[in-house]
Amino acid sequence: MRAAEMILLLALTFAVVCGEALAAGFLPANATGWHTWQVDEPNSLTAMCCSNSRRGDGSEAGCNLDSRNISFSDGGSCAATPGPLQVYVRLEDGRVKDIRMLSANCVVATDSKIADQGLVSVGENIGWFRSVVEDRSLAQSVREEALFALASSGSDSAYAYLDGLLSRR
Amino acid sequence: MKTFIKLILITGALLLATASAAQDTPQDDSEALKLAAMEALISAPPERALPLVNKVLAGNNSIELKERALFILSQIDDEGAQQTLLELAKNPGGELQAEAIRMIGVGGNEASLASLKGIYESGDGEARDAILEAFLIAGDKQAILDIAVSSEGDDFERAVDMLGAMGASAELRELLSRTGPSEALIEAYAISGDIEELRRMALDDSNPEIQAQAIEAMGIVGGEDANATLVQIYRDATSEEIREAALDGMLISNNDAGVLELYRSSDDPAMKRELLEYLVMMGSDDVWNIIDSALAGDQ
Repeated sequence: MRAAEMILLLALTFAVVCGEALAAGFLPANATGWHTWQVDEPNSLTAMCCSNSRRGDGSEAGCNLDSRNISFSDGGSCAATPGPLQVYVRLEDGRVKDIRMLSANCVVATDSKIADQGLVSVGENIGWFRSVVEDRSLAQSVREEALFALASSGSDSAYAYLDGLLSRR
Repeated sequence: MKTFIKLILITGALLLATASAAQDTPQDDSEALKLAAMEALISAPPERALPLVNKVLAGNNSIELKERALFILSQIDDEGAQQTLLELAKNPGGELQAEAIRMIGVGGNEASLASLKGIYESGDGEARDAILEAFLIAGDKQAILDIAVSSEGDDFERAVDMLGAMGASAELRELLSRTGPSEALIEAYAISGDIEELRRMALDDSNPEIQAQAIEAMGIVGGEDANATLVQIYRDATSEEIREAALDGMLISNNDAGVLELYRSSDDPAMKRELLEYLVMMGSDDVWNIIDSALAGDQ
């Protein structure tokens, strides 16, 4: 009984201390570079894609993730055919530096390798974005991207979280 | 059991530390997150965003957060969202009245914009200014023309200024036909770049005061056409006021070539002196050529 109590409480302690790390459990610890995952929500489709305006005409199809001159859109020439949400994140030693949310059908290029984490559940995905929003050590722009991801999600838990955030005193 | 108590204490301490860390969260970070969360709702489906926006507007939140909520509201194509904006726009002296009015302009909903005309009649100065801004944002020239036609004094001038800023030449001409010429209208013609109407007024000597104002305003528009007209008006002028207005117009448009042309073609010492003074005021390099020529006995 005593051992069971200890295991239970140690688990509780671990959960309190490492709650945020658990939220990002599908990503390797201290990862660096681009990582991607598809949100396992087949009924929620997006056409979000982009063009690179580096060449000035804005007509180049698909996204170069490394480019800083990207126009995102889910309509017009920038759009991809509707598909599940594909999340791309750039990490440096586990810290989030960039977030892109695109259609899984959007053609993507980058100078480096993209590590594919496969399918991620809606709950895990929302949990990861919540952990980014709550991480005050991250750049404000990254946290704002995470908020946009939550707001554009169809998930009840995402809206409950946004509601709670907006109701904070 | 002692271990069990220790673990409870450790867990409690960790929970307290977590709570304490949360309390340490600066107010500005919390507010910045709220503002960003509100902006993020632009990407949410209307049925999801609207309840959160309404809750923020009804709650004890900062004005800045509520103003961002109004912007989100303006982007939601929903009868309820427009109704909320209109209610706030109609609330006299309300802390969000002016911003709600402007956001109706941003949203561009025709029915809501039409309702602003009624609010204008009973609104205070701040509300009336916001309504003009809303129509400016929405590009509704006709609505501002309607306000100008039925206004006087400062209200008239503000409406006319807006029409000028919008480049509403047709509406300004219609206004002229209904109210007659005024300094505010002439300035608006200049800002809108309506050189044709200004030239017509500048050549009409039936009202010398208006004529002089129109001549000066041509200098604001500037350009080859205006400059050539100003030189000709100076040459044809039969009064000192009109001549001075033409010179002021050339000064405003920095047409030193035109003033120099007049200087060189003039035989009147008093006029030459005045023209030289204008060239000096304009900082024209030609002044030194003239001085050199004068010293050499050419002029």
